[in-house]
Amino acid sequence: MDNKQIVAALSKKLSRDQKEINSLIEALATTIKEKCGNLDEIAIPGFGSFIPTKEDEKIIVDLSTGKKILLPPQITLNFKPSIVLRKKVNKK
Amino acid sequence: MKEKITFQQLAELLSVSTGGSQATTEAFLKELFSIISNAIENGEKATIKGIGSFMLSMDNSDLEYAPDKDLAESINMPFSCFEAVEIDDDTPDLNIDTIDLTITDSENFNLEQRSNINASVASEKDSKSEPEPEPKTGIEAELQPDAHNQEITDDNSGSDADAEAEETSTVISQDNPDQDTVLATPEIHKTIDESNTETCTDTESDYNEPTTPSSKPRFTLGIILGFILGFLCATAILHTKPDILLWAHDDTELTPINEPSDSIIDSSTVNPNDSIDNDSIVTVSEFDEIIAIDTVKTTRFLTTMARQYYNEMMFWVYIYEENKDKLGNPNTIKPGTTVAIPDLRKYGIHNSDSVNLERAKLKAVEIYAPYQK
Repeated sequence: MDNKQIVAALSKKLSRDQKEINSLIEALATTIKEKCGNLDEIAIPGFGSFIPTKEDEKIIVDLSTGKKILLPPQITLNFKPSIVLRKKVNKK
Repeated sequence: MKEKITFQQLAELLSVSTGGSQATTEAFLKELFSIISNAIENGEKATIKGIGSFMLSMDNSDLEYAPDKDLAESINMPFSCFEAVEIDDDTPDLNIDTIDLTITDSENFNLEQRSNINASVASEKDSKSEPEPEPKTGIEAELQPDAHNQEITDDNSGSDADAEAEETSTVISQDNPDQDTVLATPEIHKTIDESNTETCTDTESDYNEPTTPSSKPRFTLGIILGFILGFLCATAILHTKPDILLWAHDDTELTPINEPSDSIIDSSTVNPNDSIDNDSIVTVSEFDEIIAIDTVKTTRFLTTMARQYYNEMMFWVYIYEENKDKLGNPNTIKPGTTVAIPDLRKYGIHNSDSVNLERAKLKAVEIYAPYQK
C-alpha cells in the first residue's frame, strides 16, 4: 500500500478530500520530526511508539581491513510495535 | 526532552498546526493507523510520505519500520556534520583528543543550531556540484546515512588522494562546517521565512533564548562559538599554555590574523629592503629544490609568499621550515630577511587537499610551541 492508496482510503473513510488528508499527513510528519528530534517519544495506543534513540560516539574496528573507525554520535528513529499489533501480526 | 507524547497530545498538536478541530485529527490518526495495521496484517507494505514505511520482517514474526529519508536526516541533524573517521595507529594523540572533545562538545548542540544546520544543508544541496571522489569503505558507507556528511568534510580534497589521505583531518572537519555555515548565512533567513517560522520560534523558546526578528547574525555566532569553544578546550588541555590558544582561536575563524606576518606590521619597523643578501643565497642554494628566493617586507609575509607560490597560505610553514635557522620566532621576523622558497615536493606535499592542510596546521602548532611562554 503506497502513500496514494492510503490517502485515498483515508479520504473515503473520513469523507474529506485528499488535499486535506495530505496536509494532515504532512503536519503529522513535521510533528514527529519536531518531537523526535527533541528526543521525545510518541506513543500511539494499539499501534506502537516512535522512539528516538541517541547513540554515543564509539570506535569500531573494521574486521576486513583492521582499521579503527571513530563513529560520530547519532540519533535514530525506531518504532516499537505495541503488543496488540504484534499479536495481530503473529496470528497470520 | 525524553517526554512521552500521548495520543491526545499528538492530536492536539496536529489540530493546532492544521487549524482543524481535535475531533477531526483524532479520527484521522485513528483511521490512519488502523489502515496501516490492516495493511501490515495482510502482509502488505505501507508507505507514508514523510514518515516512512511499515512492513513485516522476512520471517513474518516481527514488524519493521524504515523511517523516511528526510525524517531520519532531520532527526539526526545535530550530528550530521560529523562523519565516520578512520583512526590511524600512528595518528598522534593530538588528533584523537581533539576529535573526542569536539564531539562531546557537540552533544550540547541545541536546537537553535539544529535549525541553523537545516539551513546550511539546504544551501549546500544547492551548491552541490561534483560527486564525491573519495571511496568509502563498506562500513563507513553503511553506518553513515547522510551522503552530504562526506561532502562537508571533503570539499577541498583533491582527486588524487595519496596513501596518507586515510589519515583523518580533525582540524578541517571542524573548520569546514563553520565555513559552510558562514557561507549559508543569507540562506538561513530565507529558509526560516519560507517554512520554518513555527519550528524556529518553538525551539528557541525551549531554550529560553529571547527571540528577536533580526537575530540572523546570532545563529551564525552560536555555531561559530560552539566550534571555537571545542577547539579551545582541546588545545588548552593539550598544551596548557595560554598563548597557543590565541592561535587556535584564530584558526577556527579561518582568519589569517595571527600569521607571523602581522606582528611585523605591529612592530612597525618599516624597512623595505629589496636587495638580496648574498650570504643567504649561498647558504640556501645548497638545496636543489628551491624554486625562488624572496624577501620579507612589511607588506610581504611568509603567508603572502605561500599564497603566491603554492596557492595556499597555510603552507607558509614549509617556507619557515626551509629557513628556520635564520628566522627564529615566526612572529618577529625582521623585514628585509631573505628566505628561500622550497619546492613543496621536498616535504611530500603534492596538492593542497584537506590532509595536507591539516598537516600544515599541525606543523604550525609545532613551530609556535617553542615560542610560547
